[in-house]
Amino acid sequence: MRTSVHVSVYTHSLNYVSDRMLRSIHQIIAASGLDVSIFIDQWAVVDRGLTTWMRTRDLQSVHLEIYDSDTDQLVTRWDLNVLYEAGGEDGGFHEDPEAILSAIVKAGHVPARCRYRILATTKEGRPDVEGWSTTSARSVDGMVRQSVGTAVASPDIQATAGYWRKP
Amino acid sequence: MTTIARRFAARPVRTSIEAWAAVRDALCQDNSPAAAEFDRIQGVASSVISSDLPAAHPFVFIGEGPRVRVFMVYDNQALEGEDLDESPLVSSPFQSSWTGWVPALPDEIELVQTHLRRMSDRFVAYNVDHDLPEPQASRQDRSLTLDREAMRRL
Repeated sequence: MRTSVHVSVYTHSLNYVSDRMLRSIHQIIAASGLDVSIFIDQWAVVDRGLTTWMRTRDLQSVHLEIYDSDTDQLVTRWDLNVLYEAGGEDGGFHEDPEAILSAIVKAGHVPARCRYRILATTKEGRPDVEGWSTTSARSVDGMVRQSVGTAVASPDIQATAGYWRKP
Repeated sequence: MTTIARRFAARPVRTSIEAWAAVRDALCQDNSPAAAEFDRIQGVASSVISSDLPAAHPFVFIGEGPRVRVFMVYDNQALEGEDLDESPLVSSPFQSSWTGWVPALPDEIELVQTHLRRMSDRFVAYNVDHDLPEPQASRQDRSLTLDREAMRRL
């Protein structure tokens, strides 16, 4: 009985965190002045990846890479780092959308010629998920990382946010 | 005009895309063409559900029979199962001509509408600050029809 209750709570944590991460990515794309419809088209694929790898506890980070389409160089990258432990003071479900929104305002708009893609960092041996393929992240050399703090918290999983910018 | 309401559990009981699939299954049942239209807009529907907008501003389906309003329930209410009604419809609104209305904030309506238009002829965005257009009264509306939903609740 206790095992089945915990499995149910873990599923709720997984659903909550993945949904809030998707929402955060949506907000960042829109507030950065980029075309959010591309992400909406990919929603099902991104959701499938996040939920599958959180279920197996293989997901370590989700990245929104924004790059210059002319030079292919990284302009900024948003990271959502996943921790498999309770977050927040009471171990319940919490999110801090204001923290993300404030950080987006500080980060500012990106040039209109920018494009974006979603990446995930996972543990070795993670299961394959349809729609996802192996790739390499663009370099963050010479960039500075800004921490945003805990973006989403649940009884079993939390996600902290940060972004890379040019100094 | 009779209106039927349904209330589906979203986050954290389900992800947004799972919640949309639950709505599709309950409303479309064995109507494959209608279900296919729901699947075409699953991305934009999921993004709307994740915005919490359908807690107060429902998806609305207008076709054969009563108007159907679908709300989403979130967080503790969803966990506790408060006020949920996910039962399949007794009669389908999707037999012939139908429209699905998707809620959108005023500053997002153009984006949502553009996306819907690209994906489906059946779904249209509505501004949550305005009422949906009222359907024109038809010969059918002026006659008596059996309210199957009300009968089911007896």
